[in-house]
Amino acid sequence: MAIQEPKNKEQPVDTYNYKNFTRSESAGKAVAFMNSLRVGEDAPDFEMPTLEGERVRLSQLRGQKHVLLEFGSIT
Amino acid sequence: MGEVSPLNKLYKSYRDKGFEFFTVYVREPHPGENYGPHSGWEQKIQHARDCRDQDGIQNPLLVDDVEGTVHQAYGIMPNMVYIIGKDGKVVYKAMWTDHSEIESVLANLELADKLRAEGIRVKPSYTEKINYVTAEYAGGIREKVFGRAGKQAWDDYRNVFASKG
Repeated sequence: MAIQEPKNKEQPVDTYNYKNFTRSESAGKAVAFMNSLRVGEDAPDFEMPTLEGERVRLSQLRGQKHVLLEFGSIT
Repeated sequence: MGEVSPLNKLYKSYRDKGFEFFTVYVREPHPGENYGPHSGWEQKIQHARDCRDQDGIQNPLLVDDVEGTVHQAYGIMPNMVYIIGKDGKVVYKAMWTDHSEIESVLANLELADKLRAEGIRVKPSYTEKINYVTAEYAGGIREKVFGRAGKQAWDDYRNVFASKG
């Protein structure tokens, strides 16, 4: 009988938005990044709001624009 | 901020050449007393406004949901950069922002568009590289980051990296 793949719980909001930067928040992230989405693959589609309230959907820019995404924060 | 940031400079050069730039506002990697972890959407939007204003970001800023859905789909580093071609495929991904690298990728995409317009075929040349950036916060960024975040953020950071000097 096949072994069942463990069902990961959906990440709770307070795990993603941790209160303290710790060693475990730092560890393994670089390798995970390298092994995630690869160059040449389709970028995952998204729809996010701008601060002006406009909604931007990546797939709607296809064929029209090159897109640069810089991820950032205050801290 | 009086100075023109490197990204604003690139945005100004490329925005009319078939490029869109977005800053994706994600979680606070170094939460502190002044900017704690996000607990709700309205608070995250407000922090995103502060981020735009404090850094003088001129390109549109997109706000990820509180659970970080897009951030996690793209690899969860705090200051990563992706460049996505018109065909929707990832052309460039970098763990940390390096504006000179970004500039060369943008210039290459612009060149490819120009060659295609002239009827010259181009083909993708897959490239893989390690790029070195400073490990320490350079140019007063450390003071900026932890000055904004508060003392707890600085204490947490030192606890994690103390043994590495």
